Amino acid sequence: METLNAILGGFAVAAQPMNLFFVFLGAVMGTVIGMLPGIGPAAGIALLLPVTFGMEPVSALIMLAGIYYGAMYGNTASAILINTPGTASAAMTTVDGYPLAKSGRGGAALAIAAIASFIAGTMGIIILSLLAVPFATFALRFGPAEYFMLMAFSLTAVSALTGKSPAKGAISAVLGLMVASIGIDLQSGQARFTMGIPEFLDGVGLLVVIVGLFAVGECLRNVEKWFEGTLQPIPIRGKLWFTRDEWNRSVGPITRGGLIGFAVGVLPGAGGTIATILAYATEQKLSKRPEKFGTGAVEGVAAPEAANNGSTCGAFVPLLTLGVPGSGVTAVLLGAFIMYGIQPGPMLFQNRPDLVWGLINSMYIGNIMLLVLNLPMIPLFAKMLYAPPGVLLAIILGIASVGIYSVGGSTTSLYVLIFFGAAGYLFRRLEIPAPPLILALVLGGIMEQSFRQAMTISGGNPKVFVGSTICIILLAMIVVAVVMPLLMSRLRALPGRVAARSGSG
Amino acid sequence: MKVIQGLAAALAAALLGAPAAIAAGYPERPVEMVVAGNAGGGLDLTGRALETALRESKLFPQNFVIKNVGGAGGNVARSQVHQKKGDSHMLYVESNRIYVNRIVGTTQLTHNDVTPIGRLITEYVAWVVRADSPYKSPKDILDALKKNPEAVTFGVGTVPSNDQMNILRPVMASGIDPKKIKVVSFKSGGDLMIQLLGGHIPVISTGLSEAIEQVKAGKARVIAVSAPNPLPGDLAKVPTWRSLGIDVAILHWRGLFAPPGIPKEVVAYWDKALGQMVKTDAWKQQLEKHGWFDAYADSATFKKDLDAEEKIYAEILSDLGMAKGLKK
Amino acid sequence: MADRWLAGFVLALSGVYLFATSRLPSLEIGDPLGPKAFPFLIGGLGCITAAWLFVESLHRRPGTPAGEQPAARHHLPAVIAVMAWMFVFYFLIERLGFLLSCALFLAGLTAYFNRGRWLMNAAVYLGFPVGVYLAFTQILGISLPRGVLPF
Repeated sequence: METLNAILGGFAVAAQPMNLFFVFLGAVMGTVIGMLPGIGPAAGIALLLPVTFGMEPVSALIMLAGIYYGAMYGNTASAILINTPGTASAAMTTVDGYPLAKSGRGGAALAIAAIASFIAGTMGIIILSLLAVPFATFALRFGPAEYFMLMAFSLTAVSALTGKSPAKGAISAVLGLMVASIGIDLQSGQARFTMGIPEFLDGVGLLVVIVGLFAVGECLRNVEKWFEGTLQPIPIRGKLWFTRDEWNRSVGPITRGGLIGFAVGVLPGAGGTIATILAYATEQKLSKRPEKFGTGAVEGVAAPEAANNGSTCGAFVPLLTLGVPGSGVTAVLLGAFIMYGIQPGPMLFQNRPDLVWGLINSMYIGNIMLLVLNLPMIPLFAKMLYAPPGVLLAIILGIASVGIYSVGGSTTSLYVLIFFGAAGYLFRRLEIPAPPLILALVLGGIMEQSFRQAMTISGGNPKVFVGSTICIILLAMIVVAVVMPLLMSRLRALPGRVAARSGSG
Repeated sequence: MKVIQGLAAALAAALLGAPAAIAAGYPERPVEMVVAGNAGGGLDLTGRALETALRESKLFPQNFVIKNVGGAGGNVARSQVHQKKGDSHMLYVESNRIYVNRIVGTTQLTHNDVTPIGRLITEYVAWVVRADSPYKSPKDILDALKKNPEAVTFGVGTVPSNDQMNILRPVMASGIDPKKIKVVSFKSGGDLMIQLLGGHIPVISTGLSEAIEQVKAGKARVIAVSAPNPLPGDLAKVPTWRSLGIDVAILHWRGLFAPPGIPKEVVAYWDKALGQMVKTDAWKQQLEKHGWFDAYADSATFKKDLDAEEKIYAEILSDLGMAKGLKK
Repeated sequence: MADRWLAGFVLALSGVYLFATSRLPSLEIGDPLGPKAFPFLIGGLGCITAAWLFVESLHRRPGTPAGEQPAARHHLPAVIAVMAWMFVFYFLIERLGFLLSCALFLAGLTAYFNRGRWLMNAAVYLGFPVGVYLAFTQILGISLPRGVLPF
């Protein structure tokens, strides 16, 4: 009963006109921040922190949270339309979103993404309200060994992304691992492969790699196409909205994607990008037409978009229930709490129910606002593709440059951008798929560190990787993920062989 | 957005108007405060607390422009400050990375390449165990380590760090080989606390303020703290290393620096201004709010302490083979 | 053929990477595996994938083109020129300021790739930098280099 009162009280807080205004403001700014490659939600919130001084803590937190989930709506548009994820967690959206746009179904992809974001976001908030505490317990069960197994399982998704040549997919992944190993090694504090560039001590920025490989690489390839005369504006085919069939195929991915996103979002350190990878790979494995993935399957947009919105809600679980941040964004929010004089901790739900529930409930309102805000923009965005290719090319390079500059605030990252742009161009010419590189880059660091953490704790005993229920479940999932495709291809080949044998006999 | 900015501007104008310059000619214009960490982090909070306290106590007639320059463990910020030789209108907030980074060889610059202005605040590092842990005292752990140095695994945020020193120094003082001790790094303080609460690691060495809410909620216990003297208030019961007969005290401080080659008068100006500020209620409120402790040291003392700390760090890290920057 | 070159390149890169790994310092402390174990593994995997690709390229039937048509090779100078133009932009961004350098960058690109449509191009290379500059500095509160301009 008390909880119910607290929840209702939270709605009263969230519905105050002033707070409605701040939800709106946060949602709008989040959309803008998400759309521009470069400044992600964590940096965006950090930059806005000083401005929130003097505001009511609740209002400020409502606005900052709005930026967080708003960015997950915004990051979609550039991913689908110009193959440039606005934030790292939209990288998976480009895999099918951009082919859809190129085939004239950009409007449908955008609409599915917006709806998926809304449904998964709302689902996530409901789970957050009802099951925050059990999920926090779940997060606590993930030690280094469990993380390693989770990352190993995520790596099996590479096979979902390889395209025509498995060897080239593997090369792409290995290159990603190499890039991931640049920077200071966490366990020993030693710098590795930094080549004397101080910025590399923190590792190579994920976003520079993504924007370089995808956006700049695509532009450079388009320069060639321009000379070949094959670079044409893309016409819209069919209706702007998604079709009934497209919707039916997306419902499952949205629901599963939202749930996967939430669960992964709860885990500290895993984050939105890994959530999208897992959601995508799951859908590809479940799909009746897996071969369509990567060539413009609407499910391939719905699943990761749902996952990254689910993960934002999940990320609030450790922050609100345990008082510890589970992601870059919530770490900044934790700093905000302290600045406002609120001690986040395990007692937060008891001590400040008005604040917690006000914040959570404002997210329902924010999601509705974001849907209303984003849907009308779809025709506008879709028309962007009509722009003359020469202009589009210039603008994409402009956006990519300003976005990357704004993250690092130094020109070093821009020169790195040119490097990865050149790599992206070569990848296209040599038909090497880029997504495995991104996946390996995201997973590589955590995989290595969690493996070494686990081995140190266990005193070098590898049994630690089967030492818990979660580990064993993950191991089983890895086996299934690796063996299933092989088995399936055998089964498919079987009738043919039987026929051949009976024919000869 | 405009609305907020307007509000903030009005607020700032109302609060900043009054006092005239204390020393002739300085400060002439707003001072840029370079914070070597991202917004919301410990260094940033320190910079902003300093700004707030100076503003509220009206001890500084100009305002500050805070610029967050995280990146490369503070090396980016340091080289920016280093290049502004003689610029009195720039300040710089940093922690002990000011000398640690050169020892491990990620930069050439140390506190000798900038001007130390004053140590502002400190936190203390603590050994934290789960509430249901069998370890009641750090002695239990140290005794176990004496028998087998690999018996207990420690968790820290990063290495090298004060978190790590807070393990190695008591261990060395107890006659145990520090090279054999198992220390695992978890990237951020948040991950570290979850690993402890989840029971994946038996003891962590982390900032006291990060553990305090978990202690209040009955989920964790602090069994030792790196403070030189017993802490005030509720924390008086927590043993310090010295009270346990181990001569170790670690200040996890944050301090203020300026570019190299600034006039002596400006350093003297800040000695006076900060000396006054640390006595104000405005400053004490900031300490209270963030759970920090007063550790003010003026420019001369600060410099001396930095040299002494650097020596201890250099010795230990050389021992461990981590002092890559010193071999050259 | 291109695939065999690629395999050779990956092999060479893995070699360099392994060499760099061998030069990493070892530590007395930390975990038993140390900072070198994973990089060695990665370098080893690199060699294996290179071999894999080589084998794959042998199995490909002759006549099936690997990669796209080689006709496009003539345009490589244009690609390099665009990268050089990006470099010029980045070199000038902190010297001239964002507004001027970005306008110059876009003016150059549109003048070439969208030839003849002066009005539209002017709208792009004037409108985009100003719009972005205002959005970043006024709405998001992120400073972009001012350079030689007074605002």
